[in-house]
Amino acid sequence: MTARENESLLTEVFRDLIVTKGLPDPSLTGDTLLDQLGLESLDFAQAVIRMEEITGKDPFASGADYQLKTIADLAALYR
Amino acid sequence: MFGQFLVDGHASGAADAIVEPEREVTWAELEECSRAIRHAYGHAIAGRRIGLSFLPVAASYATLAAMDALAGDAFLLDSTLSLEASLALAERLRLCALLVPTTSLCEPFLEVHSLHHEEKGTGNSTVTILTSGSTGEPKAVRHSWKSLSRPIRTRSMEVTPKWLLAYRPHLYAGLQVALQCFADNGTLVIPSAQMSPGAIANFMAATGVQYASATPSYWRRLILFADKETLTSVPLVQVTLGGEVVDQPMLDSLKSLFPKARIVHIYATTEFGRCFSVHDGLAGFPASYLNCLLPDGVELTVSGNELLVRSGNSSASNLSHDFAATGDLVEVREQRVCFVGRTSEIINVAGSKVHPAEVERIIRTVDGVSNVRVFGKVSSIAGELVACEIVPAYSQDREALRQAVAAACQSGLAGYQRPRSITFVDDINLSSAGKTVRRKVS
Repeated sequence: MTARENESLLTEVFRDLIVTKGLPDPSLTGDTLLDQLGLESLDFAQAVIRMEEITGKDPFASGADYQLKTIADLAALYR
Repeated sequence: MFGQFLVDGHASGAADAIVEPEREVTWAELEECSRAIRHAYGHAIAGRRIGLSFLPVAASYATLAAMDALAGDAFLLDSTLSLEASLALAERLRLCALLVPTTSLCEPFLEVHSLHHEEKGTGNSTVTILTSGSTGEPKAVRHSWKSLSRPIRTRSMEVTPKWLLAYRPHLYAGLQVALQCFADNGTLVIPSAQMSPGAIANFMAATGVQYASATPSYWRRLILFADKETLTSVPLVQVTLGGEVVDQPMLDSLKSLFPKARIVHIYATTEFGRCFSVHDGLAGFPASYLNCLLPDGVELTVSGNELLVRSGNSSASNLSHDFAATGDLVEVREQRVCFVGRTSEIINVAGSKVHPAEVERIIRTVDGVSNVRVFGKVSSIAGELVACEIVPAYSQDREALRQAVAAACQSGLAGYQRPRSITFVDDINLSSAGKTVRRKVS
């Protein structure tokens, strides 16, 4: 998948998570800061599981030595 | 004993005992608050069974010290439960009252909710921790302050240490951190539950945290999302991990981030207390720990791949002369004991235990659910997550059902208990005994 496809897939996964929690429907882009999503760590773990179900990939399986600021940073790990 | 820490700490008077995001509480203020609670509520607390909704604030610790001084039986409740659910639980535990500390450190300090059907207190100062139970109802594990304090090391320190409270305060690990910090006359730094990883790192740096104990999931979140420069500026002398199995990549990441800190991982359970710690930077533990008496007064052995323990730090009902099963499966490889899985169905979500039955009970109440199986799914971020398979009733709209299940779990379960993966299946496998198979899926 292209970087853009990964980004839009991730924003959709995050959006679904946020709405299910009963929070307002957010406007997300690749530049959205992960730290500002208002998600707890388990929500993030849930997003990673959902991405694995869709793409078959788990970039954190061999450790978590990344520095992630934005949705685009995270999307890049699924290339 | 807990009350004694306040008296001892009082010697440091104007020093901070607790730092919250919005305020600092000195030892003198904490002691004064505890004294006022004893004075105002002594008649309601003394020698009785009392529930404490353990908010991560100074007033909770002052209340706990007052309960200790008044020989009350303290039952520690999760403050994230709704008041209604807490009161119902307190009724079932046959408590005399539920205390809810106020976040301000001013009178009246507490909301007191009186209950009926109270059972008689033990007359001793005890602490009951509530953990996930197999029936879906929390299991009450009673400790004394003595058993809780046995692993605490009193050390003479030139500077009073600053400890981060990263565990939930009402559970075993959270109490251990608070006890060790207070025994050192230290300062307990308590971030709020809503803080983002970046905000936690800023708070740790601003307060100068030196000792931080947290689950591997908590550390992973900080490493991934907090600003690296801020995180590495925290003057940590000790980084501790507990509550979940620790893997080698996590230990290596922490070592490279905090090269000067001592990295320790601890094996402890609510029932057996603290069992042992490992300091050599490697996952698992040395095989030399087996079949000998360890410094914490604990013995370990392996039987049929399961780790067994005999511990003097156990809760009252788990003190025994016999070895007891831990539920942890291990393998000995090249003089190293490695954790390879669990014997039980209990799911360990970022250090919090979840029994599938309690989650299934909620999901079964949703219209359109014909059958459900809840199990642990391995997560690279949180150890394990709760997952479920649902057999929908005939001609059920699956998307609508998924939303209804998510909504029921959102209102009826704590965040760590909620299923993070929901799939629909035609049938659920049963074991030969007719039980739902909750084998873990990776």
